Amino acid sequence: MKHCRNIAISLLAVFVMLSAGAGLAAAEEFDIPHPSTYVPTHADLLKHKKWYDDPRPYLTTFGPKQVLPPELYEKLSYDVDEMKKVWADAVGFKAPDVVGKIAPDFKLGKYTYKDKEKYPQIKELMWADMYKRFNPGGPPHGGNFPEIEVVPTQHYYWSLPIGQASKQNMGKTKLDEQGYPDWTTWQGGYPFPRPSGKFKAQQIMYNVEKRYLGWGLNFYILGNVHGFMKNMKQDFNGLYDVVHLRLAGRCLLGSKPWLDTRAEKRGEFKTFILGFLAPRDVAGAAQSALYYLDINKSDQLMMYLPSLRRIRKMTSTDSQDPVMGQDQIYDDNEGWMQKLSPTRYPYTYEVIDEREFLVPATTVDGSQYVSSEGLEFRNMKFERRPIYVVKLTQQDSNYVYGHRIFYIDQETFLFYHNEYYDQKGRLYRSWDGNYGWFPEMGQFAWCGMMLVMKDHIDLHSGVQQPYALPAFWDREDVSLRGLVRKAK
Amino acid sequence: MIKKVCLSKGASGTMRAALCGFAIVALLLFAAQPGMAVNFSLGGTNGKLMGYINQGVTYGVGGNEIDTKDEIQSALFQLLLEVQLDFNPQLRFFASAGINADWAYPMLSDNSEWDKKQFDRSRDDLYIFSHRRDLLHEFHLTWTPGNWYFRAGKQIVVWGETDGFRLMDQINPLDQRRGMTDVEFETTILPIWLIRAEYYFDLDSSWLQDLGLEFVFNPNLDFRGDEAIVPGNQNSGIWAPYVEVPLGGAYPNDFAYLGSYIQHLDRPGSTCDDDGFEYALRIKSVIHDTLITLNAFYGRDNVPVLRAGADAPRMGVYPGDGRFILHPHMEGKYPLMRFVGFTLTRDFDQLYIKALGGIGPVLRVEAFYAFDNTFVTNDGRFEQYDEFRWMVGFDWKVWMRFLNPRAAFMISPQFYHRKIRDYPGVGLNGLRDDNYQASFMINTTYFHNKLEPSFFWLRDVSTKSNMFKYQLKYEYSDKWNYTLGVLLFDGAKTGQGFEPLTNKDQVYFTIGYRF
Repeated sequence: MKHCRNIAISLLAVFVMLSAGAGLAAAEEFDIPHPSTYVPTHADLLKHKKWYDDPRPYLTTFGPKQVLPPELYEKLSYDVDEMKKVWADAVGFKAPDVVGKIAPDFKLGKYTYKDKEKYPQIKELMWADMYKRFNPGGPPHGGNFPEIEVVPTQHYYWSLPIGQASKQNMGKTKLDEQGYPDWTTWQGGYPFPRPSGKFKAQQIMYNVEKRYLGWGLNFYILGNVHGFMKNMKQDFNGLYDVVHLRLAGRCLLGSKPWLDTRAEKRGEFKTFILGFLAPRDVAGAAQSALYYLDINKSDQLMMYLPSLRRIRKMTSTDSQDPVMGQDQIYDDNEGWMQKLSPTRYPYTYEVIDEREFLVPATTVDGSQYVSSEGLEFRNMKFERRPIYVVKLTQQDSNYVYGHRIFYIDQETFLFYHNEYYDQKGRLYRSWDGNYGWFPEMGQFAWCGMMLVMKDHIDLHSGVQQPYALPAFWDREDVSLRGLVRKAK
Repeated sequence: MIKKVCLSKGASGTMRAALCGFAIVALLLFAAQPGMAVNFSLGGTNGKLMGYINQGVTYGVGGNEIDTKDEIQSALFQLLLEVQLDFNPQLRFFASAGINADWAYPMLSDNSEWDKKQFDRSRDDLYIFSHRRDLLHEFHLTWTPGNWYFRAGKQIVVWGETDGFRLMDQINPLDQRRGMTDVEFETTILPIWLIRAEYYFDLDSSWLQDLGLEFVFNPNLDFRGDEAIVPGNQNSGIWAPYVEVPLGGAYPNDFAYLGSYIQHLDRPGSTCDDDGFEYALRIKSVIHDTLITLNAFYGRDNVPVLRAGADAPRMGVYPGDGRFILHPHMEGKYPLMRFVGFTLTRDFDQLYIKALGGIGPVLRVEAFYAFDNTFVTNDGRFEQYDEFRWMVGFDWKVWMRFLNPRAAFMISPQFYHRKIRDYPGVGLNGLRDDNYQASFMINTTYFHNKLEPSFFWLRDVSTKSNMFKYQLKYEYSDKWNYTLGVLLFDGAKTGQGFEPLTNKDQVYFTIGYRF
């Protein structure tokens, strides 16, 4: 009896010690808070920033630093100097060192559209459409800006883990003889931080495709999209949210490259659910998308339609039709989301220019705003940036576009301006945006940015100022369960 | 007009109050924030109020027969208010209430044709849907903790992959009181009190991407079957079918018009009677990018089975031509329905044609096998037989740039087969052993998605009858839209399929406002 008691006590002691050890270990691990515990609603957002005429720097009062759980914010912040160094090593330069060559006498400061004649350097430094937008607001499109402030060029960088992954994995992603990647050789980070050689243009586009925008594509967006006819009358007032999850090439918060075994086996890249909250006819609709790395594998799309009260399977090949009420097709989503394929609507790729331009600077405080009068973009800052101008020429005359032109930042691989031309060579649609910038996190995001999409043939435009937060979702949040939960 | 609406005969005090209340709320919303959903906060809970107002008119072009009216024959008004409260990310409340009214009743109350054809006798049922079960549409609470999903209350659960007609979708009854007039599709599905529970599994499989179990229980708080189109102008108004019953004599005794039934319908018991309990189970999955469900249902058919009663029919006379109107006694019940089935949908991305836009088709398949369904034989007996129903359809977007350089055409054909097993020699009332239907829909958009022409064709292959719907919808904005359309019916076999609706040909126009 005494022997049994001693054994029991010993076992209990071992158990207690093990538990204490496990508890300590658990305390050392970081439990990523589920986004549902902190993401706001549109109503919350509107308390800090109205859709129009609101210059409040809302990202200083309602940005990631204020909204995220403090420990999560801390885990996503890194030493700035180290991030700068790592990223400069990865890309091989710093932007401030390579600009100032064109119109070097053009000074920092505030300018209005009236200064355009006085300072011809402005025309030299802006691409044609940007120069045209530098005007008071007026038909047929929104998104003009009557005044700007030119600020110093910044040395941008990505988060430390992203920079490290890009550096470590540089050169590992292999291209075939046509310049198309074998994505099984990509191990995370930007695949081509120093694009060069015969397939330079394609390498730049792959960087864009694999971008780490929005905390590595792990985010939650609250967005508004306002559509306007050519007489500047509003015909669409939409609200949406996006639950977005990266499945491959993950590197933040100590993540393994793949979310799970399934993502690795199936070659899944990213997935999201886009929920429509307004207007009434689409409120309760939700689209679920899953994108694969394999360029020959079609992505998976499903849509919950509130008018039918059921989920409808969609085909990802239906990518040329306009997105509901907006001035973009599905291939233009987020500025550009078309899969680059050698067989399905293939392109030829060309870097047609590499030079600096004056572009809308990132926003740190979110003080930019849209004016209700004339749909002007206000409080806009501009900086010189080194830009790749990349042209993709469509080889298949059956595609809606004949060619596309992208203006892509050489340091960050984010685009600022995209032009889409139809098969007759007419400018059909365009996309313009800047980004929210969080220096302590090394992150750019769809947060506080000013975005305008235009249809140049139907003369229609859509204006947005989305809000985004880092959000590390679970697989279930973006699966069938996630879709049903959003359903009406 | 307001006086006619609110004070004319048949408008009870409760109904008037409800109508005025809704109208006031709608006008206030419109005045306060034109065209926008109303967002509000209630004790720290975010809420939003949305809805729509539709006003339509139909113009009959089917001739001057007993079952139709020339010129204006309906003026449908629909108002729906929806409120949603989000208590937290896992808990939300949703309710909707609405008014469905046909102003043709007060407008035509002095019209001699309207009176002669006895449309006015359907006023109590069809002027305003004022029963509380029609005023309150949905009313439910949704809770989604972890992998679970619970929804309790008055709700809609839709199954199946078929458009335009129903196969697997048997849980909620249908509202056809307005016929095929231009009404919001959502409101043709009648919400009922249900409890729904779902569970989604955490998976890390390369082939089984999603798996969920859904269980639906109908506690029979308030039994409701389909609100179908039935004979008799006093029941179905301008949607009453035209059926001649041969009498074999000379005019006016050559035939009689089929009028309203004197119905003796056995309904499942009263509130919470287990006679009306229903159970539905669905397994939902995504397997290799294919959406597949397995379904099982045990409950009541929303469509009753009816047979002629023993009593002689009551006879009326139509003053228009002196012929008789026959009002037969019909007895029936809502029989049990038990089926197992599946649905499947996937896209075939490799089947694209570049010249047509390179879009692959999406296949939709649905089928069930029902055990011991109840039918009425041609000699008036209730008999039970198994049956098998299946549908195959696909959605294919094609670009025809010579017709529309800016948007694709959506083409959706469907084929449906209903097979009655061990079909009796005497035959079944209104059904063959093999019954076929097909449908075809095509639409596109112009002018930045503002103009949407569409065509829908539903063919009852077995009865050689058709319904055609031509429509043009103009979405001026996300608030205002305008719809113009034509509905046409024909049929080769007297009294079968769409043939009884042949006189319902009409032109319709609707103005809609959303907020």
